[in-house]
Amino acid sequence: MKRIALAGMVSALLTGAALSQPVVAETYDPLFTAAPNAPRATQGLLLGAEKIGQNFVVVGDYGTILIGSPASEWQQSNVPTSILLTSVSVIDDNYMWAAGHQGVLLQSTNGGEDWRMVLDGHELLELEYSWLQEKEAELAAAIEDTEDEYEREELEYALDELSFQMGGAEIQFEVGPTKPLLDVHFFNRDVGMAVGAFGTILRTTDGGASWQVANDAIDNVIGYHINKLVAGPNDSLILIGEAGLLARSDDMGETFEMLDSPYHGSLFGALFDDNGGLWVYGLRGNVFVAEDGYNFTPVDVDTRYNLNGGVALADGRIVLVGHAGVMAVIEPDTMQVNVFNHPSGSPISDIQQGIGNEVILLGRAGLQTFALPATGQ
Amino acid sequence: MQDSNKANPPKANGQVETYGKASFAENMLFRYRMFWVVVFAAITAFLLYHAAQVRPDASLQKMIPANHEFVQNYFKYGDDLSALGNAIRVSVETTEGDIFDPEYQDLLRQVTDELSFLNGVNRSGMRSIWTPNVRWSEVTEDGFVGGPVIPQNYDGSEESLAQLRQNILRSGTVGDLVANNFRSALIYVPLNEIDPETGEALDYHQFSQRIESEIRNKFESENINIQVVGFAKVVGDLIDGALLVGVFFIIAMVITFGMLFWYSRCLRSSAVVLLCSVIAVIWQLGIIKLIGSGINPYSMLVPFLVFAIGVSHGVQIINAVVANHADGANKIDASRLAFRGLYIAGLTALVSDAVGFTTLMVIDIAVIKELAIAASIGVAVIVLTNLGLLPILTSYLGVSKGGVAYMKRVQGEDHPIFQLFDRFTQRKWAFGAVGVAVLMSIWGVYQAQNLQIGDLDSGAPELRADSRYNLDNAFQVANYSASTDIFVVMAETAPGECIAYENLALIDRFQWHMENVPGVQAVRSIVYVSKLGMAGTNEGNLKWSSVNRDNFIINASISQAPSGLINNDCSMAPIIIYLNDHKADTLNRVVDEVRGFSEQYPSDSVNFLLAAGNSGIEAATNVVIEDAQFRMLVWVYGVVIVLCFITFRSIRTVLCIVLPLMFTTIMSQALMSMLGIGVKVATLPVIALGVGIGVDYGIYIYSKMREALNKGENLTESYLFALSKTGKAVGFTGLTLAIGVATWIWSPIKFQADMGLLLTFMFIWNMLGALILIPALACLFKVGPKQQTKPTT
Repeated sequence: MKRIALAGMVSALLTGAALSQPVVAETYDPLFTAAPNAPRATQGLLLGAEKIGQNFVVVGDYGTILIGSPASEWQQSNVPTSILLTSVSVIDDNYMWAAGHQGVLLQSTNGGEDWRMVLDGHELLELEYSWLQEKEAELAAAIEDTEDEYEREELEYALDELSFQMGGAEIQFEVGPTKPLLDVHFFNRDVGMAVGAFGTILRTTDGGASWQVANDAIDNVIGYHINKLVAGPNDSLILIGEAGLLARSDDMGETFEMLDSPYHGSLFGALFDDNGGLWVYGLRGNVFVAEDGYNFTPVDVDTRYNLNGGVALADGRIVLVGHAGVMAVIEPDTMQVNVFNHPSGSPISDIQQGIGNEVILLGRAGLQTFALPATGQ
Repeated sequence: MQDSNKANPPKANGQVETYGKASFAENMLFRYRMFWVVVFAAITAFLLYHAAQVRPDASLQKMIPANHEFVQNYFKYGDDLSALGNAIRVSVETTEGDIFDPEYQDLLRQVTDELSFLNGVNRSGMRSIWTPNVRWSEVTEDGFVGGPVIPQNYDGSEESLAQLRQNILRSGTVGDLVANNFRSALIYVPLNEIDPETGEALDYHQFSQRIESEIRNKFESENINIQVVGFAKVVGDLIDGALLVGVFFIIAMVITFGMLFWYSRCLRSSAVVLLCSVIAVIWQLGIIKLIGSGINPYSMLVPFLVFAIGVSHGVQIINAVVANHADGANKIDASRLAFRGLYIAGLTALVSDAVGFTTLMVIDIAVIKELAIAASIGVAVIVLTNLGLLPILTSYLGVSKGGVAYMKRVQGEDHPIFQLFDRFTQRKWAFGAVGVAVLMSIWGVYQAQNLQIGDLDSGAPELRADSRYNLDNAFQVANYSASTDIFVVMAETAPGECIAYENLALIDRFQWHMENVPGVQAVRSIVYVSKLGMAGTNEGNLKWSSVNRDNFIINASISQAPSGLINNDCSMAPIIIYLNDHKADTLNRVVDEVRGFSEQYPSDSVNFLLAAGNSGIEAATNVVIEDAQFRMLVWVYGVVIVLCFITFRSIRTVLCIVLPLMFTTIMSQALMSMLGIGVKVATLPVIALGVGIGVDYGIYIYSKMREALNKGENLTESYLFALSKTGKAVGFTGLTLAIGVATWIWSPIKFQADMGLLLTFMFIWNMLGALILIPALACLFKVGPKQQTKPTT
């Protein structure tokens, strides 16, 4: 007995000694650190939301994902990253996706309670690099094949350009993932897309098991940021971005058609109204509407603030929100525009319709509700 | 111990030597009377010259626990943090219309200019909508555009005012430099602690006065109000308030003189006692000036105590001198005998006071140490002035016939109040008194559970809630998005690494961690700026508000950062935590959360150092106070118990004297709890002072009582004897001390009022405790006559 006790003591002493060795702290990396449980999660920076049944799923900074509604409590989900999440896409009551900075794509299959990381920025860098390698091989083969001197020169120029990009990508491996994904949209459980900075387009057809880089699906050689994907009727999709970037797809994002942009500044959002009219809006209060087809006309909204988000209300009105708490309520029939500022004066990123005239605002001041004036007032 | 003149009354002149032998001290004193008068006069003149130069000083460094870890960390980065901390905020409010008015704007420009001319102002750091460093910026299709908030071609016209309004809205200064309701605008004025040209330290008092004379008085009018908030103003107002203490001193002197006269009915001796006590104060002030120590708003209490203690001891001398005269002694002999009878006793009592005061040295805060030193010096000085000089003076001046006649009349008078107190030597009354005291103590301990550490009021707790400063502060808190309770954590890194991604990422998480702590309003740091900058450089798009992994991008994102958010060699980034209040609970929670975070996310590259900012310093002060509270009580009671034991050699006696003091301590803590006065730098010393001075009553009474007990009298007789000898003196001393400090209750400085209130309470409660509980406890402990010496009847 004594011997055992002694042995126990010795081992305890040894363990104690081992523990007292200076421990080299692991470098904190928000990308792979679970989101902190935050009592004030609804007051942090929140960027995007979608409806899920009676509730909403809201995403924002520090890996925050909240499920709930203003009428109920907001529950924070279990999220494996603390990175800024920019958008969320709900497929059905169980399946949903979220995108964020540093190439993060998250998936939940249990109604948003738990999330797993499907893609991170390191993997995104690999994907992009192998995509560039494929392109390089294609180009090299094309140069080999071509007879035409002029075409060869063009291809060689493109190859030069590509090796420059590959050099950049190699440097990026050293720095680490920096690229934010700015929006995600899933058509169904299998097919989905994510877009982001510097023209990044990713697409999956197997529910996220594999991802394809599709940056060249649109004409965006310069690599303008892609800000938003907006689903329209009949699986159509509108893609908008920096410098008036505007494209549409009718085949769930496999191919895109570039549209004539009404604006050369950045577009931050787009929405379809009840009549199928397409609204696009963005920098400095610029708003355009295409009632049918894609012939846009400007809408005179009296603000110089950026418009970041919008919603078509059940009663047909359009509400656009933006910086300095600006809110523009538009009656589509009369094109009457009512512009005012939310009392917080704080930038708003997104808006969702709540019950009746209540809207839910997301932005720098967190989650706020606001009662809109009733129709015609 | 005192009043022992009655034991050996002089019978006739010239026979002084037969009534006890003259000590060496007595001979030295009285043989060279004129010499000593000249020496005292010379020293007094010399020290008066120095005392006159004493200026109240309210240096921040002295009011904080300089050796506490938090404060050491703050000192380490004090220079780097100065850009954040030491500033005043001047708001100019119009009561008619709003700020978009040409006359208002003209006035605001003038106030801004005038402030920039004040000595001590760091002009380049000043911010108002009229300073060129306050700009608006905006993203357009072509990139960033921006300019100064005041339109370049501003001429006060409708158009330029409309332009100004637009610029203000897009500059993000609403809530910062422009009130949320557009009825006032604010000028942020950072100060240089040390004048860069002259190298001299900023004179806060002078600066505060110039703010009053050159800003407030000059620009305030019927429809313009000016509010000034900032540490420099608090200090200025503190010193202004402290100067009022001089008036209180005069009031205390007048009242004391009246009481002295009422007590002695002799104008001459009343004046002499007053004179000697004032000399003691002059000496005390002169000496602290000479030893390079200053007087601060806390140690200002000391002259009052010195004066009051001086008077109470002077009264004993005068009492004896008059009694000797009444017994027929001449001027010199009356004084000599008074000195002979009292100097040992007086010395002992004063030494115990002084030792009691020095226990305050356990509190490691400079102002309290200064107070302890000043009080000890003051008490030492009283030994010379009121035990030495006073009898010499009375030997020249003598006493008035009226005084002698009054003394003859009241001598031996058996006052009905004495009869009342004497009942407490009877078992029934003793049980009642002790029972009530025990019940009250239980209630007191229960009450004291709610006793808070630290300051509880909002704004500047040093000043009263309705003071101009706190009203100004409330105005700015209501109209601007700012909290005045600021807790700063310093994120320390290797030089040049403060904005490395890994470090910023951890600071970012720390910031969010702290933002989720109850009581925290907002957190700002370089990370916050970097995230804003990221959105800013990406057309204001909120979706970019994230720290980037690329250090080149980080550098670009903070290019517009305000100064002070990283230090020069990029080894420290302050994290500024705005709090709801500075209650001890809030501060403790913040400290715990900071430490908890460091444990949860240990890092080799970032060290989250506590703490700076007014709330950080306050947290440190609270820790020191809480820690010292217990130690100080142990020390002061330890000293008192030892002194009592040395004097009386009896545990029962020590209990009889010390238990009433403990009762007072408990009751004063209950009182503090009820009045919402926290344990803080101002109130902690008060408890030690109360005990240190309070024990005197017990010693006076018990020593007389023992004298009678030793002669074989029973307890009731002995206590009545003690009362007739010292009862009046104890009552007089209690009232003199109480009146001396009671004037403080009207001080504009909140903590001085708290000190005055508590000390007044303690002095009176101690007096009553001694008069009632000592006989009661003596009865219960069965203190009786000394059997051996009791003469057989």
